[in-house]
Parts: sequence; structure tokens; C-alpha cells
Amino acid sequence: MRRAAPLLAAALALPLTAAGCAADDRSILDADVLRVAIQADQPLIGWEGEDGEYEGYDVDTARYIADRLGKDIEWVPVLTADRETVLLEDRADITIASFSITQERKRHIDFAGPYMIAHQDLLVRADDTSITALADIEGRRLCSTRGSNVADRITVEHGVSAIPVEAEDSIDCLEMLIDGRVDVIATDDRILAGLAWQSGGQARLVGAGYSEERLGIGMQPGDTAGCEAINRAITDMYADGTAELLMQQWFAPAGMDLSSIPIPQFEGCE
Amino acid sequence: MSHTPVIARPRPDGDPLATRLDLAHRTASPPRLLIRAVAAVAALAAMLTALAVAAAAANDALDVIGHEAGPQVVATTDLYFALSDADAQVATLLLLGTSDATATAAAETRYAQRRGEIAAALLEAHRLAGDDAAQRTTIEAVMEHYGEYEQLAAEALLLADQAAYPQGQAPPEVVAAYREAGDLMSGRLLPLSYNLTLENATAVREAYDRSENRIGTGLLVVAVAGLTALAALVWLQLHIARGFGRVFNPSLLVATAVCLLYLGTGLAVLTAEQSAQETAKEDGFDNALSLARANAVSNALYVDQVRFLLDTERADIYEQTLLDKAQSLHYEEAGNLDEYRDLVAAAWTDPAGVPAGTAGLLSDGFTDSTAAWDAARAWQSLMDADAAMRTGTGTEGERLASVSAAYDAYDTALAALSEEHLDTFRAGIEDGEQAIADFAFLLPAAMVSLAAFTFTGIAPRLREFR
Repeated sequence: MRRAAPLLAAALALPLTAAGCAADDRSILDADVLRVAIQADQPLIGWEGEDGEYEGYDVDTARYIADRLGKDIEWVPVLTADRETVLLEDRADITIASFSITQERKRHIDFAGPYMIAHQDLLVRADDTSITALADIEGRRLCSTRGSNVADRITVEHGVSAIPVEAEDSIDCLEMLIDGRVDVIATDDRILAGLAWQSGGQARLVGAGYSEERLGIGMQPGDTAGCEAINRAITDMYADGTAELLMQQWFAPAGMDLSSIPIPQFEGCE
Repeated sequence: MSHTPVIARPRPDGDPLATRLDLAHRTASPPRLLIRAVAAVAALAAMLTALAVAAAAANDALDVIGHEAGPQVVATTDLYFALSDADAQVATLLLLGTSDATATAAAETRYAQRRGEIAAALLEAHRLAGDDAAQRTTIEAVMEHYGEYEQLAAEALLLADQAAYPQGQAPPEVVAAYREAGDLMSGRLLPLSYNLTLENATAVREAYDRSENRIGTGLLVVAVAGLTALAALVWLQLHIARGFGRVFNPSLLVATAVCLLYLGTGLAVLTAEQSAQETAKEDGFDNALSLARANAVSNALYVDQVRFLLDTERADIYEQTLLDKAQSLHYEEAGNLDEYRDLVAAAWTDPAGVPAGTAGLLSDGFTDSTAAWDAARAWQSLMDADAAMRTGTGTEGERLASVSAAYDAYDTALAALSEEHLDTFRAGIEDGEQAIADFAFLLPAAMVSLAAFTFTGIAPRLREFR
């Protein structure tokens, strides 16, 4: 008995040591609070309302997802340029802010979704009839927000060279458009619909729809289970009609064409 | 431990040997003997139960990976491919108009064939979905939308028949009718079936992670219970040696040997199981899944090429979505298709080893094999054919025919590479199942024999007390 005791003790201690070693990857599923980075400068998408509450399509999407995951939300307002760094510096868990999934961005961060398919479009002054298609902005002053890849892509992918003007946020772009400092704003049609709505009739959507954007949910890299859980929530959001309802609620009044709402094809969680 | 003798025996005073024996014997009693024997058998039972539980968990995981979610991944990618290729044929028929009877007949045959495959794939996916309500709902949604698609496609084809136009001259109402069908395909049918594939891939990953955890825990519990059983057997032996003056007990020695054997084999089998599953999942399944997705995306990319020719108004969009898809198959830091082709050509100059892969569904599946190089070269040819198609010399039919041939060659190469990974996957599943089947069969027999040996070991000693 006395000789066997140390052996037994050693054997019984094994599971304890092993349990101590088990290092889990950090997942958004383990925390009670989801830190959501959103933009607060985009009417209809992510916007601080008069009562100080955030509202808009992306905000409602975040609420739906957090609800499905059973998490409380901590909002982290960001500018376009910070959408990636806010994740890399661990100031937010996810980014829902008109963030297109590109292979370039995927080298640094992961994406769940897309949660919506948007199209790149153009916004011009309501009385400007000289721009009806992408090719017409050749040589014109094009406003985009810092950190977006819009102006580059127009030049490189479509071979149309406009004169790029950068602004801090989309409201600045709208002001410059209305007072004539720029001629056109290019970004996804949801944002432009919001700006058109905000301009009170001074700006209009061209409807050029020259490129398809898959808007994803930026995530810190390596959280496969969290990414898959978000994709399941998005599947539910489309299956139960919430996605369509929210689009109708936010974008239909701004004149966006919602006749066929595509279901997003997921990027896949690695 | 108490030293009170339980059974009084006559003591021959002054005989040192007798005294020693007697002293030793004082520590032995039937309850003590039994307690030790029962402890040994209980620990043995715990070890074998842990082995059985870990083996069952591994078996469950193999079922999910090898026979449920795994095949469902294949069934849903088949569905995606058949849907997408059916759409390619409809777009081809609308593009060709009345110009090329042979090509038209070929496209019609292929469309009919794909429709049959779609029906079969839908039924198979529905069957494999079993009682998963969410998946069944999705599959039913695909069935419903597919009905709508066929309707819209039939309308577009009818309009085309009535308009009877030469190739590349589809009138606006035909293009508009096709757009409706095409948008339904790209906007609903394909995403739904693609997401279904991913959902099943998630099920595979979850089953795999769960099983890895359980086997890991199983290994630990088996080790602890096994060592405890060995310790208990030794404890029992020591007790008999001291209490009865018998150094070796044959039955207990056999029990100890069998216990050691099972402990060793059990740990070895579970470790082998773990590595078989790892091979099946990481070398086989993950790569096969990447290539199955690559196959799906590639077909959708081919549809973008046909649509580019058919719907000139939206040509910009189809060119951009094609670049997007190309980037997701094999990434190069390129802003447009010309840059992309140059970078691919520069990346694949050295034909030794594995073709240089960046992130991407196609590159993920590259291995050190001719199949990988064939696929890489076929991809390059497809992108070259794409460029030739865009600059546009010849009729629409000719432009399409050259990308179509390049696409078919690439599709064949991709399938061959995919088959390599599927073989690894199937072999891994088979190895895992084999290892468990042989072993699980022997577990009950081991338990009975171990208990029998332990009790036959102590039986003669118990009789001494009668």
C-alpha cells in the first residue's frame, strides 16, 4: 500500500496537469459582450440618431447577430480608415461597417458573411446630367473617404481616371459635392442612397451599378467557430425575412431598387 | 492500518519462522483481500470502459465525417455545379442564337443532362439532410427557386426562338429575360447551395474537433485508469506475498500482463485513430473541400465569361466578378486581369516541387504532384483564353468556343487533382474504422478474462481462511 500510494497519486494528478495546459483559441463565443465596430457617419447604415442611439441597417444587422449569439453589444464607433486596425489592435471583436470582402484584406483579417450584396454606384448633383455611366467621370473630381479602395479600383480595374479627392467621412464628401468642390462621389449604393436622402433632393444616384461588392463582417483572425456562428445567424436573417424587412425599412424610402434581393454566398470560415 | 489479528491460530512459541509467518498473516483477512481484488477489477473496468467510450466517440465522428456531412458536402457541390453549368448552357444558347446548329445542339443536350443531375442531387441532398430541419428548409427553398428558374429560362429561350437572331445579337427583351433568370441563379440558387456546402463543412469540423477532444480525454482517462489498475494489481500481489508468503501468483501475473497489453494497445489504437482522423480531415477532407469549392467557383466564373459576351451592358460587372472569383481561386496582388495574368505567369516558372500557391481555393489544394501542375497550367491557359475572348477577334461563337475548350480542360485537371485528395480522405476514414472495429470487438472479452484471472488469483487464498 505504501509503495503504491505515490504511483496512484501521480496517476491521479495527470488529468489536472493536462486540463491546465489546454490552451483554447480565443473566440467571440466565449465572451458575454460583443464589441462591434460601426461607422457613425453613414445615414441609413450606421448613424447616431437624435436620441443618441445608433441606428441604420448595419446597426440592426449587428443587433440581430448579437441577439442570435446571445451577447450584449458594446459599440465602437470608427472611421472608414480604422475598420481593419480596430480589429488588429483588439479594440473591437467584429466590424460591421460597409466593409467589402477582398482577398487583399483577407490577408490580415478574417471575414464572416457577406451579410449583404451591394453595388458600386455614383452620386452626382441633382442638376448634373453629364454623368450617366462610369466612363463619364473621366477627368472629373471624384470624392471618396480615406481608407476606402474605391478611387483606386475605378482607375485600375475599369481604366477610368478621375481626379481623386479624399475626405474624412462621407458627409464631408456630400458637402463638397453640393458646393461644387467635387463632381461625383463613388462608393456602394447603400451609402449613396443615404447621402441622397440626406441631401434633401440636391444629389441623385446615377444607377451605374458598375461593380458588385460583397459586404462582410470583419473579424480578428483565427476564430473559425465564431465566424461560423455569425454565418448561421446571417442565414437565419435571410431565411426568416428580417434582412428583406430591414432593407425595405432603411433603403426603399431613399429610392434604392430592391426588386431582387440577392442572398449572400458566404466566403467561408478558414 | 490495524494489526489486530482477525483469526486466532495456535502459536508455536520460539519458532522464528512460524512467528514471522504468523505476523505476516495477521495483516491478511478475506475482507482485505476482497477489497484489493475489487479495487483492481474496478480500475480495470474503468480503463476498459474509458477505452470503449473513446472508441465509440471516434466511431461517431467517423460516421459524421465519412458517411453523413462529408458526403453531403460532395452532394451539395454536385448540386452547385449542375445548377451553375445548366445556367451556362442557357446563356450559351441565347448567345449563339441561330448561328451554330452543332454548338446549339450540344448545349441543349448538356442542359437536359444537367437538369437531370440537378434533380438527382436535390434528392440526394434531401436524403442526406436527414432530420436536420434547417438544411431541409434550405433544400426545399432551392427546389422552389429552381422551378422558377426553369420557368424564366424557358421564357428567355422561347423569346430567342421567336426572335431568331444571329450569334451575339440577342435583342434587349431576350437579354432582359435572361437577366431575371441569371439573377435568380446567382442571387439565390447558387448562394443557397454553396452555403449548404459550407454548413456541412462546419458539421464536419465540429464533429472532428469534438472527437479530437474526446479521444484526447479518452487517452488520459485510459492512462490513469490503466495505471490505477496496474497499481491495484501490484497492491493485491504485495498483499498476498506478505500475508501468505507467496511471492508469485500465476493468475494475477496473467491479469497484470493482459492489463498492460490492453493499456498499451488501447493507447496505441487511440493514438492511431487520432492520426487517421487527422489525415482524413486535414490532408483529405479540407483539401478536397477547397477543390470542390474551387470547382463550383470556377464554373460560376465560366458563366461570367458567357454572360460577358451575352449582356454587353453589364459586361463591366461580369468582368469584375470574374476577377473577384479568379482572386479567390488563386490570389495575386493584381488590380485587373492583365496584371493578374502576368503575375501568375511569373509565379509559376519553376516546374519543380509544388506550384507556388498563395491563398486561394485552388492553390490550397496544390500538392507535390503532376496533377497539381496540370491544374495550375490549365488555370493559366484558361486565363489566357479569357484575355483572348475579351479582346475579341472572330464571331461570338468562336470567342466562346476557345474559352469553353480551355474551361473543359481545366475542369478535367481540377477533377484529377481533387480525386487525389478524395483518395486520401477515404483511406483515412477506412483506416480509422478498421482500427476501431478490430479493437472494440475484443474489449468485452478482455474485461471478462481480466476479472476471471483476478478472482481465480485470490480464490485459493480465500480458501485458506475456511
